[in-house]
Amino acid sequence: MSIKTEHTSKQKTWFKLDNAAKIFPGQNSSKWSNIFRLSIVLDKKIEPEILEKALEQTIPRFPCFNVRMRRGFFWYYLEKHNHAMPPVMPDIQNPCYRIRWNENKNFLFRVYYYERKISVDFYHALSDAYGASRFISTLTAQYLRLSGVEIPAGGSVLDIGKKATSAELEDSFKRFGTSKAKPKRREGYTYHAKGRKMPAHTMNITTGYIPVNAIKAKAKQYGVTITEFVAAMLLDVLYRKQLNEKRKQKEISVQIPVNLRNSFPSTTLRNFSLCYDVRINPNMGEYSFEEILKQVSLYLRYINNPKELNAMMSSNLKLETNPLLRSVPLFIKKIGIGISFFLTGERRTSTLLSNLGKVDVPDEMRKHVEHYILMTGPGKLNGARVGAVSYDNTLALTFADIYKESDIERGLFTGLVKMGIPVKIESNRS
Amino acid sequence: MSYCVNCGVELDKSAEKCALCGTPVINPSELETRKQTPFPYPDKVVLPAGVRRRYVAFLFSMAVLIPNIVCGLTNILFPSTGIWAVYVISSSALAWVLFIHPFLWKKIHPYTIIAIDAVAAAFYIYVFYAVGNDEKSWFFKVAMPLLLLLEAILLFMTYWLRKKKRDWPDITIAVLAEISLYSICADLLLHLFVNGSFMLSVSLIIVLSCFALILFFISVKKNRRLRAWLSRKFFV
Repeated sequence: MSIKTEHTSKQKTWFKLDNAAKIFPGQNSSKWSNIFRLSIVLDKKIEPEILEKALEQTIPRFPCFNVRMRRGFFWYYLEKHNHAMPPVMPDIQNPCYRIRWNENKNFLFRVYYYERKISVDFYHALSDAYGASRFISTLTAQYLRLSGVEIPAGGSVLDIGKKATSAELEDSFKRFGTSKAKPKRREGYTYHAKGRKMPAHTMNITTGYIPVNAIKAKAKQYGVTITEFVAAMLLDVLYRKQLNEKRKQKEISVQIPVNLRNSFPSTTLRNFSLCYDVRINPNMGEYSFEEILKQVSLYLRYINNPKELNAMMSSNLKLETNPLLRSVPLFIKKIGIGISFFLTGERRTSTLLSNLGKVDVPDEMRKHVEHYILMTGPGKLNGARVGAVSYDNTLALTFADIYKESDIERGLFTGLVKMGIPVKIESNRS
Repeated sequence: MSYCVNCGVELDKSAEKCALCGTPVINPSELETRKQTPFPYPDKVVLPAGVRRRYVAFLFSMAVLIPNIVCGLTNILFPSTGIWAVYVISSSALAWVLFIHPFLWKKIHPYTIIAIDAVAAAFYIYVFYAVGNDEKSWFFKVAMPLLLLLEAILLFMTYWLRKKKRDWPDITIAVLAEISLYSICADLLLHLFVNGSFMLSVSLIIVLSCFALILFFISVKKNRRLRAWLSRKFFV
């Protein structure tokens, strides 16, 4: 496996979409886009003028974010912006609403501020949560510097004095997807918790702040990781909900994106993650929480190895490199992707759990940052989707729910409370 | 700090009720703190603009226009082939008025659109009448009265539906009654035009069927259990 040397990149004026990003524009509709949000809560109220300046100084470090979406004849591509700056806006109650290329000064991310919180909504074609966390941490560090705090680069804060390296801007799927194996991924349709839908472009957001040491100790007691523990709890809540509905029992699955940088030596700031589906089938019999936990943990440990991941990556790459598919004009591709997303997409997953893991920042910054919050975009069919991020000693679990009911959120958080893990809740439900 | 008595979770200082179960927060010692603490999310909701339907409608219009121009020019260049382009162009024009032009309006005005549709339909039928060179004046004696009647029914229905929210059995009964009325009028007019006398034939079957259905839906309206059962069985 070749490892690229970290030399600085030439000023690229355009980027091909990376392998994972290729499908996102095709999934866009007038009501939905694949967007997620990262927020940082500071100790002081945000000054928008300083934030604007900080953004201006941060963007050149992230050429892959300083782009707009353009249509080619065969593919979409990202084109560098010339001297434009994204607007810094007061926050809204309904983040992650659909994206349109010509809005927001053509930028594919939106920067918001509210009280002590800086939030950025990222279009998934730009990056995954890892790249986004680097961007928002660097932006916040620069904001704090302009407010008079000395903060060095380190952890998730990148040095804005340096230029982006070519390794940071590469499509790592292409570099590491070298497997010849053909994994079969044929999964059936799954259960979807339903409810009264919120109006279009709105959603209920509920964040639970949980002490990392408490949940870690509990997970350790069962011999699992935090992700496995939360995924099992989520499956358990959905499993009991479906049982109570007294309907034909369907499989329940939680989609878990995995950061491939943990398995492959990549430092890319663009997309480099894949999704697993962890499933349980209620038709096999009754499940106790411990059984679900065991199934989740064994499955994740079995599948989370570089060979399996490489095979999944390569099979996705094959679609992109297939000469027949490549030569199909974009507008037909877009229709095809739209149809396939409609037929498969969320129908094969009951919900999503995206755990960014622990975000590390320099000690000087830690004093001023209270929380990190990761919010996955609302689903189309998946009611409550969960984003998780650990910072310091707090795990922030955020539900983005397109339904008015809050039984899934309640099931998970009260489940944690019953286990003796304290949870603090905040929400946009008025 | 306040905790939900129902869920056991700690609540945000600004919370007036539990976000998970809606239980109100009653903590006399934190009334002042609650007032001073900002909500975790702002009140402002931004609803993004909808689809640019006027732009899409314009593109569709252009797409319809081009083959029509080609047809028209071809017919002019080869007049010996007959006046066939008129049919193509008038059909496209009618389809454009019915299906594309409503999207070009900034705001939909239903009465105006129905009126424009009726004029377009009248022109369309007139083209066939004029090109066909029929001796009998079927256009004025049959087509126009039937078109005007349809127009009147549509206008009435639009007005009736817009006035207030109607119940589904009421709407079904209204539609069935209108079908009966229209079939009777059509039957009478056609018989008058062909035989020269007022007579009812096919419409009687339609009217009787509709009448039976109307009676059924009236009973559905009155019988709540039957209505609930129907709603359960046939919801879309």
